Amino acid sequence: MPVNPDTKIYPALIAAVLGALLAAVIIASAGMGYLSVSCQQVVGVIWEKLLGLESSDSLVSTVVWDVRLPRVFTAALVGAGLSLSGVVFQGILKNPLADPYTLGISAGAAFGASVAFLFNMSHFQGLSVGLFAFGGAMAALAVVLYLSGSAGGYSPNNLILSGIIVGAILSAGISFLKYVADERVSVIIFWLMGGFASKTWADVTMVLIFVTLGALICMCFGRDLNLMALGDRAAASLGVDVKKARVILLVSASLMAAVCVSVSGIIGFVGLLVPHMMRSVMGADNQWLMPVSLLAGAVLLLCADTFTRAVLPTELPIGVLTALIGGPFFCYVFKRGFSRKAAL
Amino acid sequence: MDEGRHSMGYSLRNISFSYGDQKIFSNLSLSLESGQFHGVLGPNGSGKTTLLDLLAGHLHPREGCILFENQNIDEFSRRDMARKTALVPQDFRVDFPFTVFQVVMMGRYPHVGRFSGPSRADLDLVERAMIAAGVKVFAHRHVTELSGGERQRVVFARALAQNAGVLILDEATSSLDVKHSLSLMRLVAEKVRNSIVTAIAVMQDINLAARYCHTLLFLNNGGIAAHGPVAEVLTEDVIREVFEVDAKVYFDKEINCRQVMFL
Repeated sequence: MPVNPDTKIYPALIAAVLGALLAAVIIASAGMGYLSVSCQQVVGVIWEKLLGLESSDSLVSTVVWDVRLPRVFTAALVGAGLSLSGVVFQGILKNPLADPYTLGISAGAAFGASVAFLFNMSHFQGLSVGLFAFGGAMAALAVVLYLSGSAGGYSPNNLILSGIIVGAILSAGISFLKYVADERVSVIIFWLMGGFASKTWADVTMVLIFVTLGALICMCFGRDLNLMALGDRAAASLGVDVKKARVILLVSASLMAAVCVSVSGIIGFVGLLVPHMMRSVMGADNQWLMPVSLLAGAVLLLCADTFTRAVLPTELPIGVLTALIGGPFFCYVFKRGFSRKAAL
Repeated sequence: MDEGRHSMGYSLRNISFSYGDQKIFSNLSLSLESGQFHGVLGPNGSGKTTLLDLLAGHLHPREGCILFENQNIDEFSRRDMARKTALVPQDFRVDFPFTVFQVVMMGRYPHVGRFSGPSRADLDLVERAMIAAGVKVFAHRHVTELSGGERQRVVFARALAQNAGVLILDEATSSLDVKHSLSLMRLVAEKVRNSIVTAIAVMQDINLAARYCHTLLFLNNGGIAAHGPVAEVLTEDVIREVFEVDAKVYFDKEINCRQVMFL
């Protein structure tokens, strides 16, 4: 009997479970907080709003629909975007330690945001920080692509080196801006730590558009990403235009990461940790790893944000929380992975 | 000249190739008949791997043209080339825990639509390739856990699953033990004999090449030092010229072919 890929039922099952879990977590976290709302009421509010009905309880409706759900959806989408972006970056760079920030996207966004804070810009109804962060991330990506492209075709090593160089220069730039910023330095530091406070439906829409587009493009290239893991020559001999596929994936993943960072600040470890966890559960096949990581990332970051918002006595910056929980957990996974390999 | 048979394989016409300023080939002409087992030999840096990349369509000559099945190779799409030629690369390193089955299955990618699953026929081919390369027993292990030789056999199985008419081997036996080297070469030779594939193999082991290949191509300094049937080109003079070592070439009656002993 031939070896059957019916094992694919297994990842499909994981994806279905995660999808259901995500829906449950969204409803539960919209109910949690200072004003406790039951799950039935949350579903009721969403139902009313979707059908355009008159709300039965305007306070609950406002709290759930206008305050909590935008934050809930932003957190879920950012988690999804960062995790998927992490899978793609690890695949392209052939390095399980890569994450969406390896190529300096975060440093670029942080620099852009710092500039906006420094000049105290509040145009476009407060969107300027996000716009500057996005612009900074894109500029950093452009420089990285320019540097690594000139020296022979966007090879993983070129990309990583260029990313580190650009990141280092921008970090120095951020330090300089902080130094110059004087009393405004706290605003910059606070933004850099990340957070989902006071997100609106406009934020949700923007992240939704970018993450959906990016996810669709990346998932179309799942097979190519698998082949590229075997090496450039092997991928080319199996029909992949390696250079083209790499640039398309890189730009899509970077756009997702950039929009996430510009909405929420720098949230570390999600993009590194989730792909790792999912890979250890269901293997390396990127065609499944991408959708599953996307869902798992959404669940994870939403849980973390709800935890800091509704469970902790005072709200911790989400970036600090993910690093505090994610760091040690990653050390554990890393160590366990090594000892298992050594035992073989 | 028998133009018909020649034309179905490869024909390289006055090609030049360089990496930046570093010239690899200039004005090289060569034809490789189909249905044969071609061995490519030469010292390190003589352009063997570059030649394979040109034949697989990964690299393009600066000047001249390569005809493949009577057509300019540039006219084939990447996917067409992937269906017609399979490459077993020299180095193979994977940091992600794909299973052996998944890697061999990737050989079917050029034949299966982007979003459609493999058919029964695809699964059968993968199964047969895994058995032929002796990797079926560890089909569900992760490639990251395998030894170098085992990994090389997995890559070979993947190339077999690709089911292409041209099999390009870049030192495919470099990490294999004697038993597996011989069985791989025997398998390729048998496929060539049954007119299933044309094989082009870069090799380090001259004796292994002499035993299984029909023709040998000696490259040296980006040029052809000798090219022809084993019995004609495998001589002490050629070895001395190409590898700069003294050797004795003798006919081994046991295995019925020429062998080389280095002095």
